Parts: sequence; structure tokens; C-alpha cells
Amino acid sequence: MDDVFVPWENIFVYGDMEKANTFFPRSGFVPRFQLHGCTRLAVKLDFIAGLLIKATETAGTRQFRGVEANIGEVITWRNAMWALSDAMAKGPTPWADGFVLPNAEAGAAYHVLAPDAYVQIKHQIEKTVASSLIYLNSHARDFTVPELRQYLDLYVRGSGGVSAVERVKLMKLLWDSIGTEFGARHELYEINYSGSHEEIRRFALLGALASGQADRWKAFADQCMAEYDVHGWTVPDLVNPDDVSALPEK
Amino acid sequence: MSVSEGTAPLLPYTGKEYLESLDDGREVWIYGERIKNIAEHPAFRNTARMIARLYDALHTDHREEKGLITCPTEWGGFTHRYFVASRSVEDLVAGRDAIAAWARLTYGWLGRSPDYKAAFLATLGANAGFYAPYEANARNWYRYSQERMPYVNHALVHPPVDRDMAPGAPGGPTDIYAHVTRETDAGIHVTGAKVVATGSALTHFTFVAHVGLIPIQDKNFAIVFLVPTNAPGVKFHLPCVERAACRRAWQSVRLPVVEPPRRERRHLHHG
Repeated sequence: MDDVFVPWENIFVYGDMEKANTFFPRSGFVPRFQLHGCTRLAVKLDFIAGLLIKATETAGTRQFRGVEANIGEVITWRNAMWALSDAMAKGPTPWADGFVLPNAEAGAAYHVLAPDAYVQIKHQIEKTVASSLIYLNSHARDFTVPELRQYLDLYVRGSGGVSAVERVKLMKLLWDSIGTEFGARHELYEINYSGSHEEIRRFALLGALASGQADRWKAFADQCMAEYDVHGWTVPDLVNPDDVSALPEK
Repeated sequence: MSVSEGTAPLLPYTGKEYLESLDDGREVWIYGERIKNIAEHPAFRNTARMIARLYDALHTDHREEKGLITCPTEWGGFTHRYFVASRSVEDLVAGRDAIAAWARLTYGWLGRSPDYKAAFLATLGANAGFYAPYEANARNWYRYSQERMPYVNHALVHPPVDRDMAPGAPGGPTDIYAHVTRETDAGIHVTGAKVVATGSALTHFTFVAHVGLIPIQDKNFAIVFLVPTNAPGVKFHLPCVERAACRRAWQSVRLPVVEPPRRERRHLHHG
């Protein structure tokens, strides 16, 4: 911005440092962008899961035990994102004047898990689809050259009646999703989607401190600690080990 | 911005209106050149068309009375459900389902779709008081963004320069981060940079605010505002690579085919 004029009507905060610094947590934006981001990612994982299953079917590997386990892990991340989206929408927190915000704890869980999920999913695809992401011709134009086409149709065909063109369309799309410059940029995007890896974890703590949950958890720990002291159990129903201990109570 | 006062309610952009609205003199630079019309530039035209699909889907949803993506506004028009401040579980679930329906149109790859910023804009309907003495602005923007659904994105983070210094601290990076340089009867003047304004080159407005590890310590950096993408002095520099997949990673949502993206890349190499 080089001497950009902003009329008063487009200003929300000006000169109030406290508001400018606390706008992010106090605006209500955070749980709402978490619901949007989680849902958008869940849709993307529907798409990637579909590509992954098709890729393994095309290679004829889908029913191998290890491949099934890896696909199951990818589906688990997908399921987790949809479940967190549901939890955010269906367990809202009361807000100002009868309005509600999406559930903050589910939002915080999505916030931290999503980048790790994305990296894990990419890794699982690379391990599982493996050479199918490499066994590709250079360009769609190859299919227009009869001398090449006969070999591509024979040697690059998929399993179960899938043609070479269909196979290459699929594998190029999957590789574009995870590995090309486009795919790699997307991974960087998802890893840093809404803040650094440290900040998103701190949000979980700061949220618990602000909501009173941290105090409730500490009280829960205190409740356990109140059940014993240096002389043993302080509660009437539990039995001290004096009869079996090598160090009986003096 | 302006709020419709006539009899006909203001409606969301159509895809065609959206594409035409991008030819507004905005200053976007790529490969050493200023783009004339971003909707027709090889690096942006298909992303622009995918966003146009989103806008068209609103009108289809409304026309066919599906109510999956859209709902009525309180001013006679219709909008994407997530642009309305939520009062209940039902509102949130319907908003979430609208988000999902729109995301499916880009196969989940367009993180900064126009409904992303609805996450903020809709809060203005519930939380306008927070912005006092500018709460009237908050309410006006709640209505306008819901009725017209302009494409808004945000620029929150300072550039990764002198990150160890407080914005505005003595000896700090006063010449780099966005800040107020002067104030007039009509408003403020802002100079300086923000980073990672994902998608902004294709928006109508950019929302500018602050998020950072070190709190602001100078009131000239304490600003939250919206600025039109084509406002004089607003410059978008895309630190792009040689290919069509631009700084906005989702730029080439080039899904079902193998070939066209490569053609676009070649044009860029040669162009």
C-alpha cells in the first residue's frame, strides 16, 4: 500500500491498540473460520480419498493388506475432519445477544490436527501408490502419436479394464494433488493454513485458560490429590497397605 | 461501499458480473508486468472462472428453490447461508452444509472462496458493538456483504522482516509494516506492506487487520479496515514462479484433464 486513502466508513478500529491486538480472538472470527476451514478440508479429503482408492484399484493393489491399512488411515483422517465439523456446528457456544459461535474445543482440535493430517495423508499416498506416480508418460500429446500410442495402450493400461488414457489422467491428477509444484504448494498452504504450528497449539491452551476449562482440569487433579496425604489414604473406603508393605506406617 | 435504498433488493454477483467486475483498473503485477485484465490473464483466468461458478451456483440454488446454499436476507434478497449471523444449531449446520456444497464445486481446493471471509463478516451482525465508535460501519458492512456478497479476503500478517521488533517500536520497521501516515476529515492514509493475502488479486475488497506474536505498541499500527482491491495505491505483487500455479496455491484448479495446464504453462514461458 502506497499512500492508500481509507474513508471513515470502511474503518473498524483506528488508534485503539487494545482492540487492534485483541481483534483476532474477540471478533468471533476464529471459531467461524475453523468451521469453514475444517469443512472445506473435509471436502478436499473426500476428493483425495476417491483418487487414492481409484489409484490402487488401477494398479491392482487395493486388496493388499498393507495397502488397505494405509487407505484406512487416510479415511480415518477424512472421517475425523467431518466429525469435527459436525461437532463444531452441533455443539455451539452461546455468544452475544442470542447468537452462537461454533464449538471452540472442536475447532481447536481441528486447528492442530489438520496440518498433521495433510502431511500424513500425502506420505501414505506416496508409500501406497508409489511407482504408479512415476510410471507415466510425459504429456497428453504422446497419445496422439500412433507410434507411441500402441505401446502406451498396451503397457500403461490400468487393471480391470482401465485404459491407458484413463490411468494417466488419474495418476497425473493425483500427482498434481500431492507432488507437483502445485501439490507441494498446497501442502505448504495446509501446513500453515491459519497460523504457525506453534500458534495453533498455543490457541488450544489459551482457549482452555479463557473458558475456565484449565481451572476445571486442575480441580479434577486436585480432587485425586486430596484422597491421600503423607499418612496414606484420607478417604474412608480405601485401605492402606500397612499389612503388606515393607515400610509400614510408624 | 453503498447500501441499496431502492425498491429492488441488492442481489449477489452473478458469475458474469463477477468476471466483468475484475476489469476495474486494479494494480496486480506478475512476471515484471502489470496485468491489464486479470480475468483474461493466463495465470488467473481459470481460477476467476471457478469463482464465477460459485456465484452462478447461488443463483441456481435460489432459482430452483433448493435452499441448500442460499437463504433469504432480511432485506428482500438472498445470500449464502454463512453470511448470516448464526443464532442456533440449525443455522450453523445449514451454514456448514452450504460451505460444503460450495467447496464441492472446487473439489475442496479453493481455501479462500468468498464464504471464507463470511466467517468474519457475519460476526458483524452479532458483535457490531465491539467496533465502537465505528459500530455503524460494522452494521453497514454486515448488510452490504450479505446482500451483494462481494469477494473479500484478508491481509493480517506483517511481512517476515524484523519480526523480533514490535510494530512501531523505536528503531523498528516503521517503513515496512502497514501503518497510518496521516489523517484527514475524510479518513486515513495508509502506507506499508502485509503478507500472504491469499487470493486477494481476484477479490473486490481486502480486509486489513493485525495478528502477530508481538503486540502493536504504536497507535498508527492499530488499524482494522476494508479497502477496495482497485483503490489507488493498493498494489499486489505476486511472488510467482515460472508456472501457472501462482502464489495463490490454488490458482490452477486444473482438475479433470492432463493437457490444458501444460499449454498454459508454455504460453507463460514464451509470453
